[in-house]
Parts: sequence; C-alpha cells; structure tokens
Amino acid sequence: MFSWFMRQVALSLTVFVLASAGIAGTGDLDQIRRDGVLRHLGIPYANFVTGAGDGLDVELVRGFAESLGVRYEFVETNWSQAFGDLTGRHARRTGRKAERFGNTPVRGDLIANGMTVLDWRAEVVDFSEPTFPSGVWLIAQAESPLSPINPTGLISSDIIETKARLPGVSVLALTNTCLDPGLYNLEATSAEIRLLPKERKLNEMIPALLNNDGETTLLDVPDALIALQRWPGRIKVIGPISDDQQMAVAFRPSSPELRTAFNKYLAGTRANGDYARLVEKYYPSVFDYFPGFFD
Amino acid sequence: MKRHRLRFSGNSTIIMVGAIVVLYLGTIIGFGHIGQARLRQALLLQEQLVIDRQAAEVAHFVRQLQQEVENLAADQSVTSFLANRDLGMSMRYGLRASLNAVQRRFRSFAQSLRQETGVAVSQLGFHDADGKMLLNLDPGDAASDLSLRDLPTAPSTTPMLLRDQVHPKLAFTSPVTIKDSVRASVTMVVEAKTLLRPLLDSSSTLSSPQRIAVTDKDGNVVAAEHGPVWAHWYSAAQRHGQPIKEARIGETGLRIVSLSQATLNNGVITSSWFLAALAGVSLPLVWGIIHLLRLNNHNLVLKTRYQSTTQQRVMLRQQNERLQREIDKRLASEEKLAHQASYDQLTGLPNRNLATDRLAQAVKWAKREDGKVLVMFLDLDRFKQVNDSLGHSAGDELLRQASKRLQRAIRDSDTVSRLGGDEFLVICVDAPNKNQWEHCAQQLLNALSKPFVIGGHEFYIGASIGVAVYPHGGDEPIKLLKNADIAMYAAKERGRNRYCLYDPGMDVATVQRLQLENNLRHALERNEMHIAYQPIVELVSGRTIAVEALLRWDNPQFGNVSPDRFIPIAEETGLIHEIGEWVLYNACAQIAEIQDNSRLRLAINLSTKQFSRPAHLLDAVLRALRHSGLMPFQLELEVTESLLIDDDPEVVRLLGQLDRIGVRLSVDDFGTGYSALNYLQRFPFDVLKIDRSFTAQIPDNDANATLIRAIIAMAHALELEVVAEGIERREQAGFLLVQHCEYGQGYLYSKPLSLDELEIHLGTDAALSA
Repeated sequence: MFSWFMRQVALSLTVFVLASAGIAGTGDLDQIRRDGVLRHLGIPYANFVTGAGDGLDVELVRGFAESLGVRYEFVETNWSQAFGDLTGRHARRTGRKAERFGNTPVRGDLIANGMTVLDWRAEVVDFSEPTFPSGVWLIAQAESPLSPINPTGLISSDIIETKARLPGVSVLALTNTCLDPGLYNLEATSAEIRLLPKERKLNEMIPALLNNDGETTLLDVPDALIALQRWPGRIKVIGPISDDQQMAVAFRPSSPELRTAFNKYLAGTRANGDYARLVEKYYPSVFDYFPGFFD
Repeated sequence: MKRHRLRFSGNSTIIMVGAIVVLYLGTIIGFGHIGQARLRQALLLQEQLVIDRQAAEVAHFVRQLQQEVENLAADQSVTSFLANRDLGMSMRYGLRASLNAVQRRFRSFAQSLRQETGVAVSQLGFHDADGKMLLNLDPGDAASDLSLRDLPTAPSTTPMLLRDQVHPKLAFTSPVTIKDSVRASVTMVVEAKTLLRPLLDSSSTLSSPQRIAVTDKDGNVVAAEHGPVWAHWYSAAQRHGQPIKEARIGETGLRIVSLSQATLNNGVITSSWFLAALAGVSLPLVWGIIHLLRLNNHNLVLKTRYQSTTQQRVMLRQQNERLQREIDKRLASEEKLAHQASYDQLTGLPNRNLATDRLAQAVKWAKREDGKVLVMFLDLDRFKQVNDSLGHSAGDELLRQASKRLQRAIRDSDTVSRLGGDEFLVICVDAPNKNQWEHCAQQLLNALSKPFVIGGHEFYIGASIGVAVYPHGGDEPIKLLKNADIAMYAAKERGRNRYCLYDPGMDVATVQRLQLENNLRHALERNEMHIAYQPIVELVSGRTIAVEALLRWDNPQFGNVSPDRFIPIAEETGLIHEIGEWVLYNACAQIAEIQDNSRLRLAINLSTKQFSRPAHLLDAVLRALRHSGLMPFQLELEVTESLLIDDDPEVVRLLGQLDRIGVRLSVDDFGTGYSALNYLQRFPFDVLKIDRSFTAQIPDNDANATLIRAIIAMAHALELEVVAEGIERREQAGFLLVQHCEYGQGYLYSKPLSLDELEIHLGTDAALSA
C-alpha cells in the first residue's frame, strides 16, 4: 500500500516537474531562438506604435530582435486582448486587484506600446526596467470655463487642486488602460465620468474631446505633448490627475530569461546613446519635462 | 568675270606702305591720347556703378535678414506658445512644451542661417507686448556683450545700429501679430561686419582690388574690410586727391565708402609710356622704308623685262595648245563626215555611193587594161521573215553578221558593199574566167548558208546572187548593176539560194514581175502606199454619205502602180493579208479623225484571198474599229461575187459574224461575175454595187438600161440599197434617179481624193447642205 502510494507521489512529482519545465520553456529565450522569431504585441498608440510601421517601441523591440539574431514580427492587439495574447489568460482590473478569466491562444512574446506600469498589471505580467516617464493630466477644450491650476510645486497638492475643479464636469476615460478612472479614484470627485468603448484607442481621446463627447478628458503625458503640438490653441492642460508614472515592456512571468535579456539590451542602448536618439526622434520635448530620466 | 588687278611699281608700293605706316602710327598715338582720357572717365564711372551695385546687394541682404526675422515671428511655434499662454496654461503643465518648441525653432533657425549665409547670430529672442522677455537665445557661436533686456522692443522694418558697443551690431525686430493685435516681438542681433559679406563675395570677382567700408550717416565706420588700417587708407586718399565713392544702403541710413585702386598706368596699352614708345618706333620704320625705295629702283627695269617675257611665253604656249586642239577636232569631224558619206552606219561596209564610185573606177581600169570586172548583186532570201518575227533590232543584227561573213568570203582586193535593205553588191576586179567567178559566188553562198544565231534563235536564210561580168554583162557601171539585178531575180525565180549569170535572153517580163514583187514586199515599210477616198453620194440630194477607200502605190522604180497590177501579186504572195489589214486599220483611223456629225460611212474592198484566214480578218476588223472608234455600221466591207461561188462554210460564218456586230456588207462589181442570184438572199448583204461597165452605157444602150432596171428592182425587192459606180454624166444620174437608185459614185461627183482633199470636200458638202 505504501509502495503504491509512494509510486503515485513520485509519478505526480515527475509530471509536475516536467510540466513546469515545459511551461517555463514556452516563449522564453531558448524557445524564441529555436523558432527564429520574436513576436511583438502592440496597440497603436501615440508615437510608441504609430500604426504606420514605426514608433519608439517598434524600433526598440526591432533592435532587440536583431540583437538576439531572430526575425522581428509585429502582432497587433487591443487593450482588452493584450494580456490574454501574452499569457494565454485574459486579465482585467477589479478594484485594486487583477482578475484572470478565460483561456486564449498565446500570440506574442512581449507587449511594448508605452504601457504604464500599474499595480494590478504587475500581478499579471513582469515588467522590464522603465522605458519612459509618464503621468496623467486633465485636458479641456480651449473654450472650457475651467482654468488651469497654478502649480504649487508639489504634485500631490496640484492633483488635489485639479480634482477640485471636477465636480459636475464630464470627464472622458478608458477602462483597462492608464486612463482608467478607477486607478485615480475619480468617482469620489463627483465628476461625470464618461467611459469610451473598449475598442477605442488612447490617441482617440482628444478627437473625442474636440467632438464635444465630454468637457474634459484624461490623457497621459506623452500623448498630451503630441496633442499640444497637433492642436495648438484648441486644448489646454488643467492640471495633473496622477503622480509621476513610468512605462515599461511587459513579459510573461514564464519568460524571465527574455526579460533579463531585454533589460540588458535596454541598458546597452541607454549607455551608448542610441535610446536617447530614439526618444529625441519621437518625443523631443520629453527631456525638458522629465530631466534626469534619460541620463 | 574677268578680274582686274591694280599693279603698282615697287617704288610706289613702298611709298604707299611707308605713308600708311606713318599715318597708322600717328593715328594710334592721337587716338591713344583721346582714348586714355575717355578710359579714365569710364573707369571712374565703372567704379561708381560697382559701388552702387554693391550697395544694392547689401540692401538686399539686409532685407533678406529682416524677412527671416519676420518669418520667425510668424512661425507656428511662436503663435502656439502665445495661444497656450493665453489659455492660462502653466509652464509646469503644458506651456513649457510650447516654449521648448519655440526654442528649438529659434536654435534651428540660427544654425541654418549660419550655414546658408555665414551670418553669426549674437542674440535671438522675443518679448511679449508688455516688454517681458519670454526667450533669450544665445546661440553661443558669436560674441555676446549685450542683453536683450536693453533693447527697445518697438518693431521696425529697418535694422537698428547699436553704436555704443565695442563691436557695432545691428538689431532686427519683427512684431508677432495674432488676430490683428501685436502680441509680442522677435529680435535678432547680428554683428555689423556681417554686412561686408556680400561685398567680399562680389569684390572677389573684380579684376582690381577694392578698399571698402560701411559707415553711418555721420561717417563713423561701422564695418571695414581691413578695419585697423582703414583710417590710414582714407586719409591717404584724401591727401592724394584720389577719388572716394559713396553709395547709400537702402533705407538703413548706412553708406558704403570705396577708395579707388585702379590707375591708368596699370595697363601697358593705356599707359603714357606706351604712346612714347610708339612715337619712337616710327622713326626707324621711316628710315627702313627709304632704304627699301633705293634698293627697289635698281631692280625695277630688269624685273619688268623678265615679267613681260615670261608672260608672252605663257600666252604663246596657251594659244598653240588651243590651235592644236581645234585642228584635231576638225580633222576628227571631217574624218567622221567622210566615213558617214561613204560607209553604211549599220554594217560599216561601203555604201551605195562608194560602191558605185569603185565600180566606175573598176570599169575604167578594165577598159584601159582590157580586163574584166565581176559584179554580183546579192539579196538575202528570208531576211523579211526574221525582221517581221523578231523585230528590226534582230534584222539589224542579222545584217551585221551577214556583212562580216561576206567580208571574210572575198579577197582583200574585192569590194563588198551594202546598197540598202538586204541587198549587197560585190565587185571583183580582174576575174578572168568563169571558174573564178563561180568559185567566188559559191564562196558567198557558202558563207551565208550556215545558220545565224540571233536572240537565242537559229535561222537559215540563204541568198540569191545575180552576176554580171564586164564587158559581156554590160559596158557601163549602171548597166552592169541593172543586169546583175536582173540576174539576181532570175536566180530567185529559179528557186533561190543560188547564183545566176546575166544572159541577154532572160525573160524581162518575169524579171520585172519579180522586181515588182520585191518592191511590193517593202512598200509598206517604205511608206510608198497611201489611201485615196472616192465619195459616194445620195443621188436625190447630191450629199456625200460615204467614201470608198482606194489603195494607191507610188514606187520610185515603177511609178504609180495600178491596183490591178499589184493586187494580184499581193494575193499570190500572201502579202494581201498584211496590205489589207493596213488599209483597214489606216482607213478607219483616218475617216474617224475627219468625220463630222454626219457619221460618214467607209467602204473598203476586201480580196477573196483575205477570207482564207477568217479569224485573222475578223480580228483585223475588230481591231480597226476599236482603235479608230468608228461605229460598226459606218464600216462597209465590199466583196466580189467570186467569194460566194464556193459557198465555203467558213466564209458564210464570217459574213454572219460581221453582220451580227453591225458591219455592213456590200456586193461589189455586181453583174460581172458569176451572179448566182440566190446568194443575195442567203448572205446578209446590205448594199449592191452595180459595176461601172453597165453604168457606162446608160441610158443609150437599151440592153444595159433594161438590165440596170432589173437589178435595181431585184435589189429593192431584197431590201438592198443600190450604189451605181462609174457615173460620169448627168444623163446617167438622171436615169438612175428615175429608176430609184439611191446612191452613186463617179467622176460626175468627185474623183478619188486624198485625205486632205476629202476633208475640204466634206466641208463644202456640208455647207451646201446647210
């Protein structure tokens, strides 16, 4: 009896180890090298993934694929599918936590499109070293009666002053992204939150604002910098909604070697100035906003 | 066109050349002096033009810089910043991005201005409308010793000179206007020496160096090419009275000052020394010319004589050559004429003239020496067939070949000549016995008996030779020729390709007939035949309604030969086909040409022999009608009763064919022949012609009158028209009219007429009818 029990335990352990090894190997560095291709999951957004075949993150991951000696392949996804396409299980925010649900085929090896590092996301994926600074601002149309805040020098005070202008004001937001109102406790401001459909992209926020879909909108800083250049005099920045944030590349938790290789590659490009040149190409003014981040 | 050359003696040439040289030098010196004065003025004017142009270039450069600043003030980054600023955005949240964009734009502008124009921007920035400085960019590539805070912000379209600086500078300012409101101003400061840049660029292309500077309106130097030494240069120019040129730089209040560097002595040609040297050179030239004059006088007489002799010799040689050419040409021409007069052009043999002359010489010799002369008259037997079947060129070739064979067949001392056509004459002097001349004649026959090859065809022609020997065959050249000719016809009569010696007993009639036949063979080609036309008139009106074609032959030997004489020969030899066809063809053509609207009919007699080739005859009729354009009913073919006797089915068919195509048929000489009346019904005749033998005796001869009445009645019964021939008297015409004879012909109305006469006759006839 004992021997039968022990054999069952040994067999179970063997199966577990083998299965663990198989899961760990799926999509990690060795597997990618064997397949000869690195699949880049991306959502067209701002100047990270322009949708025209280039962008800051497209060039970054393409360079990473070249450093690995494999072929680069871009796989387009959206905010509701992105985590499922990377990990094989869908994920969404519930409160402050992540919720996993439903299986789906794995389509890519990493997500890189200016993804903001958030707590619930960190439960689902492993992030690389930060690649870009960010934050969320409240933007209004130029004609709006809302006036920009007077900066106090402390961002927490500025956030409070900005939120103080929100009661009764309609705010455009997008769940499951960095513009998710739940992340910033906007419900408590008595603002009229208008969620855009999930299939919308972040770079559609300003057009929706100019279309009078809402009086204000949340917008991440990189996108706001582009919008100020593209629509000069038509929009204004009221103030910050979030603390300073960071963006990074997301990996499957089962791809530690790939993540490590990427971090190593990123450190190399930052050291030799290649990464700074890339940022200068796509976000020239970001150096003035976030001095020190790219040093 | 003859060229005339002015000739000068050596002396006058040298004097002229000397005078020209002295005049030339004097002119150069005089005009050189005038030219120097004008050149000086031109140089000064040129310098003024240059400095004016340079001032314009600097003014343009200043306007360009002003325009650049204005463009910068209108840049989107500037207006965006001001718009965002108006929206109340803070530098911390958004406005800094706009200001950074302005800063990047200004920095980019300063760099591109430096690269494109070489202008170093000292300061670049902009103030808002309240004078608050928003951006002060120091590009870092020019010495900056001022602050934009110190500058007035009022916009201006011309640069402001900042004189209270160590290095004078120029400030360009442009307003930033949004919605017709001045919201800010952009200011750019550059060093004043920048203005010298276009001057340096343009002065580098000038041939003479320039000393230039830019000053303000009070004369203070703002920028100079060689700053430290400018003051020294300027005072030196004033001391030496050197021209100093000035020009305003647009509306800037600045000026360009230029010190002239060019002097007239710079160029060799324009210097005064050059004029002095020219004057000095003229003296040895004049001396040289005088010396040349003396030398030339010594040689002049000798040279003139030599030239004259040479010229005469050349002229004489040319005249001799011309004369020799003229003589050669004339000799050649005479030789050619003599040859043409005595020799046949085709064969190269002696012609009839030369042959006659040689025969006369031979007879003279024979009389004097009691010798013998052999005359052989040779005629080719089948030459005509060759000529007709292969054409004249083949006939000519045959004659040439035959001539060569004949030449080879005789002795060198004999003469063979061509008399014309295919007739040759051979004269052999000193042919004493019969054997010798027989041998000679046989040689000739042998020579011609071998086949001739012409155009790939082989021919056997043969010859007939008549031989006459002096003195038995005639004691005079003409007689010898005539008798040899008779003997030749005798040879032909005896079967051709043989020779025959003249014998006084030869049948002259037979010979003449043969001669006539021979001539008849050539009658058409020699144009000896022509056609006469006898009018046929309507007896009631006397109007000519038709003509009968009558063939005439005028032969040089036999004179006017009657058709009764040559037609039988033609029929016998078969020539009748050719002659008959010729008459058909030509008569139709001639009548068609002269006919008027009356549609004149043409009656042509056909020989019975012509019907032996029915198809040929029908074809000849059709061709004659087609070629002439004559209508078939205008052609009336006359046949005699003898044709109808045999009742030949070929003849019957042919007459039917002619009738069907519309040709009228007529029975000629009715009453003289067989007169089996039934044929008049069987054949498609239209006309019946009463022979002249009946007409001649009416109305006196009752028998004939009765006969004619019967003939006319019978013809009318058969619906035939009747033509009475040989009407010469009015009584005859009257009788025939009473008998209702429709038509008649004869000397009472008209004799046979030539074509021209017929045309006149028809014209008169038409006039009378009208």
